[in-house]
Amino acid sequence: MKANTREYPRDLSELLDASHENKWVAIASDYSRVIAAAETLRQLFRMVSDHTAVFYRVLPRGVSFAPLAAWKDEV
Amino acid sequence: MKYRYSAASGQLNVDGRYTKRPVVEVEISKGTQARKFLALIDSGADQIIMPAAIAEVLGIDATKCPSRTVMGVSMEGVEGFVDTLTFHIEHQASSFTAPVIFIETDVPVLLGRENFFDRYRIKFEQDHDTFEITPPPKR
Repeated sequence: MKANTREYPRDLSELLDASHENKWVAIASDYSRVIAAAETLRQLFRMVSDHTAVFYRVLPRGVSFAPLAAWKDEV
Repeated sequence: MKYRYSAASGQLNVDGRYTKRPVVEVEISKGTQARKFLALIDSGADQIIMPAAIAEVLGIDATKCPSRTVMGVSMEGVEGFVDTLTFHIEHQASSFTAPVIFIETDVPVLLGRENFFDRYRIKFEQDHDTFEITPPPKR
């Protein structure tokens, strides 16, 4: 089967600026604008009733992000 | 399906170039409740990890979920809880279910390996700014 090689770009640099740094943002589903921003995701959920919005955590500038790795089994 | 790495204004590498990350839109659901997120694909995470606030908005009762500790690069354990959610990655034909560890931090949604990398071939091609997510061929 021939691979589908269509690419989907997403450049957030024109949508997000310094005011969104280290916050959660709700982005319109067509990526045309930021609907709202908040310090925490709980706050943002209370502010945004649009269930088509796309939520995103904007990481702070000037830091290197090294995510988590689960390791300890307590289930 | 190929996707481009995402850049956010002002986030720079040590060498001054823009930091670009493998971020993809994903709809996360539990029953009739669903929300969309931009999630970071994280091959270093054993499982999918996300903030506990998402469990709340999807109607999950944390007291009824098994617990699990998560450890990151700080090497300190963070208590979390586990439930199973349904995921639909943008531009993919099918959905999948996977266990999720919810933690009380504002960590981005991290798409770790269990049930995600198991179900898709994830190919990072940062040298030309793309990553690829493809379902494995049917056997």
